[in-house]
Amino acid sequence: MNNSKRILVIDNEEYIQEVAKICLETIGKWEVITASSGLEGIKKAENENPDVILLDVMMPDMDGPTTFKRLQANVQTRNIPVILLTAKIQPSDRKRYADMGMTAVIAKPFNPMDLAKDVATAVGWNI
Amino acid sequence: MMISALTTNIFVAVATTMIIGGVVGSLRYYRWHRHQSNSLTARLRQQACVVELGRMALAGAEAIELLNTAVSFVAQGLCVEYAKILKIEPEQKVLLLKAVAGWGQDLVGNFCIPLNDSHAGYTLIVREPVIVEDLTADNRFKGSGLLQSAHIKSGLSVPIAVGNEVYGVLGAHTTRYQHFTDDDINFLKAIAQILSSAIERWQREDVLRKNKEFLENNVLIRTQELVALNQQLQTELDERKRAQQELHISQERFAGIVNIADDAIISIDRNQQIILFNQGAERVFGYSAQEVLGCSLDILIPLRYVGSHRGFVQDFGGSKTVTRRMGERREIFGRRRDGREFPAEASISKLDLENETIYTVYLQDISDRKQIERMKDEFISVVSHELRTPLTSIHGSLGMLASGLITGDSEQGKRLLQIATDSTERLVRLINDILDIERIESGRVKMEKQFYNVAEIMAQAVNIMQAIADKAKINLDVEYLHIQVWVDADKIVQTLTNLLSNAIKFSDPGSTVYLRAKTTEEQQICFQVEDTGRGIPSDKIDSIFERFQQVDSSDSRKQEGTGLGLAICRSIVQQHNGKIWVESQLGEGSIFYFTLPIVPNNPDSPLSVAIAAKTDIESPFILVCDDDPDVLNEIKNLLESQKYRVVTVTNGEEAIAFALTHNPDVILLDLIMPGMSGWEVMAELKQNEKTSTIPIVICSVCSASAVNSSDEFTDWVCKPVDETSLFQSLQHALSTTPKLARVLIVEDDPSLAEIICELLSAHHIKIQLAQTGREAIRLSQEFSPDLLILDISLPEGDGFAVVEWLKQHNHLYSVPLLVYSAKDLDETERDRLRLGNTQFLTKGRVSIREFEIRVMEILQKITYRENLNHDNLNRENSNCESLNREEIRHE
Repeated sequence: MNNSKRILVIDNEEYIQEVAKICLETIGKWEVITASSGLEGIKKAENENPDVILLDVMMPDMDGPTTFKRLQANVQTRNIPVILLTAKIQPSDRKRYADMGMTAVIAKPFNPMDLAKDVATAVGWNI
Repeated sequence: MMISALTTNIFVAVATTMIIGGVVGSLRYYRWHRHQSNSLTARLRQQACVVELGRMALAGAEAIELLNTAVSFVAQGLCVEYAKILKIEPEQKVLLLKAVAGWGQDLVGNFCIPLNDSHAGYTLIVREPVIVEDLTADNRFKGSGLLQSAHIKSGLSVPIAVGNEVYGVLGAHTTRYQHFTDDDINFLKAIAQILSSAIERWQREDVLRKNKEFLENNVLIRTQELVALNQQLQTELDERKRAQQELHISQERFAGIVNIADDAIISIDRNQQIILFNQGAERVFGYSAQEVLGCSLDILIPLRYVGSHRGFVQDFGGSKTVTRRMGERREIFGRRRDGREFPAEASISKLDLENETIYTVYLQDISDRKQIERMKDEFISVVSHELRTPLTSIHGSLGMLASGLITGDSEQGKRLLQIATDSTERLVRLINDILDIERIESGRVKMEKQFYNVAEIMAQAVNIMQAIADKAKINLDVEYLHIQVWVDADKIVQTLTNLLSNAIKFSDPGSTVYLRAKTTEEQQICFQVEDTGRGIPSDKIDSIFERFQQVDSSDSRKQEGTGLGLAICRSIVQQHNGKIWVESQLGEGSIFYFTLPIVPNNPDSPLSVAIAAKTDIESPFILVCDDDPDVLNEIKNLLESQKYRVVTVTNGEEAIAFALTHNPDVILLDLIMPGMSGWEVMAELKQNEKTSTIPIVICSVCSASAVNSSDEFTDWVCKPVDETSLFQSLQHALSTTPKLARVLIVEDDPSLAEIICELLSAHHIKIQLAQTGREAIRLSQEFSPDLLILDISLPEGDGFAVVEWLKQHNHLYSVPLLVYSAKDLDETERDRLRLGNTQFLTKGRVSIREFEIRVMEILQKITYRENLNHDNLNRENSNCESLNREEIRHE
């Protein structure tokens, strides 16, 4: 793992966590940690200090935007860039999410070869 | 007066003559005397004429009579041949002949004499008596043609005056030379005077008469006018009354329509005060009409729109259009009595009256529609998310593998392949379920309802789930219920399978899942699926049947669910007019219930009757033979109460004849009968190939032990008949007796036909093959198949023609039919193809093995006595699950 960059993937779909993890680890050579719910994600963000968070929108208990607000309200996590992963994206949503302060939005299903590249572009890393 | 004067003159003249007569004598006297005497006679005659005419005139004689008498008297009185009365016609300047003596009467009224150069005309000019001594020598006038043609020599005429006017001329004429005396003149004047008086009277009378006639005429006209006017008024009045009535009716009707209209209809005046508020408006806004009439419209509008709305109405008031749709630019809202707002659609129209403008608003509450739209959007959004989720895993996994960065045989590679495979399966399930629920809820999938045995449906579901339960180490505990129910069996099996599948998923290994069915007091069947699993949290109990509402979202991957299973169950149950619900204790387990009506909701409807008739054909057909009508009746009632079809005969010959022609499922046979005995009947039936396999149940007062047991009958029931043993025996006869199922295969492709024949002959099925439509029809009659497998495209009459023909013939119209064609059939085509229990399979969509399973299922369902190859069937049950799902979509 280079640069010891760490990415937190928050998605209730375990298969998606897994695929994203393999994808980002293989291509980006980053460390990937995962969480299956908003609450678990916030806890991991607090404790494990990720460099960027990939956040799913539609989750059963706490959805993506709510989780994001909680992360923003938290001193420990407010500066971590958040990239939203969403299966339902409309042009109006993209602007809304940008206004909320999210770093980027990536649509599902994502191209695995582009995922790492998109993440790097969004936060200004080199692959 | 005139007459009396004349009379006096005459008297004086006579008296004088007598005095002088005494003094003068001799010839001269005599001549004079003679002359005097003639003159006197003439005078007397003239006097008499005057007196008579005067009398006639006084008596009111008719004009013509008087005038004719006058000319006649003149001729007599003056001893002339001709006399005439002429009337002046001032316009034509002629004198018209009014009466004549001496001339032909035909001249009267026709002949005219000119004023110029005529005796009469001259008389009128001088207005005095005119004497002519010798017409030919007269230099005053030539005389009219009338006088000349009569060779008149002398004449006397006087004018007839009426008042100040001249009426005409009275003339006397003679062909002799005659001297007219003053007496003559006086006589003629006296006549003229009488005529004058009479004419004046006539004229007065005429004027009076004319006036009277005119008046009468006027009165008549006026009266007619009045009558006409009156009639017109009456008509107008009636018209107006009718118009008013019509208006009233129309108003009432309109008011009625306005009042009951679903939409809110509200009228306001110029000041935007409410003047009409219909029932629709009452419903929508929650106010009563009484409360709002006279109030400002503002109370119905959300406060923030009040200003803009007023502006809108004013703007509209000034515009030329009469109606306008509101809310074209923005959504509009109404405000209910309780303050809640609701979305609405409205249009406004205006009506300009004399000095008032009325605005009417038609408003529709679109809350429900909005709600549905929201739900639809939400559903699409959720579906889109649900579809993209497995797609993301598939895309991600395969993308990584395709990139070559990870190889398929590495640990990671294998894992990615597994993820892709699982996700693909999940996607397929999801798509199937979404299509299913959409088609069920939209009503595009018809529930193919028939009477089915509940136990059979439960057994099918258990069969499908047994393998899965075994794998999960779950024990299935089933209490079967034997009762007929009116359902689409496949759909109910699907529902049970789904509930059982859930119950198994959420139960721990070693535990038991219970399936039960009970009848309820409401003539319903209540199914229960009970587990001892983790249970459902109380806040999810209500939403569990909604789409994509799993208790735990990870269930969709872990438990291979789609989040639509229960929603599909609910749709199916609702389509059967049933209810579905769940009772659950967290950590202890859940019981899912659903109910189904046992019989169609409205058993009297023609549809239900038709359905019942159709169902009857598939129920067992029993021939009862007994010589005692009471026994026959009793058995018939018993059997019919259990939905058996029954035919009764009273002797052996009839029984044999009927069995030959109608092939009953079981014969219930009395032994001791007059004529042929039961034994003889039985022997005959067994000898004939057509009837040899029909099971026979003996029904006799003799007991079974009294005779040797025989292969010829299946069972023995003792009279008096015990209900339970009768049905047991019949069931026994129906279930155990071997009889080959007969299938007619209609298929023109020889290789496919061969495959099908081979496939089915393994199941002890008697098969006939027809390769054309015509052959199919012929063999249907000869072979009496239990099932017809029909291709559509055929030579010599296609599948439609075959079905059309069968529909109209004997029992063939109800033969079960499996349409097996490559053609995609639409609903109308399918309807045309229906015979008995009709099912459709599409070539290419189902494998040949699936086709085989389906055929065997149908045969099992419709011929409860087939000697099927159960082993084969059971082996294939594990394939049924996928097949069932597949087929439901295909139908």
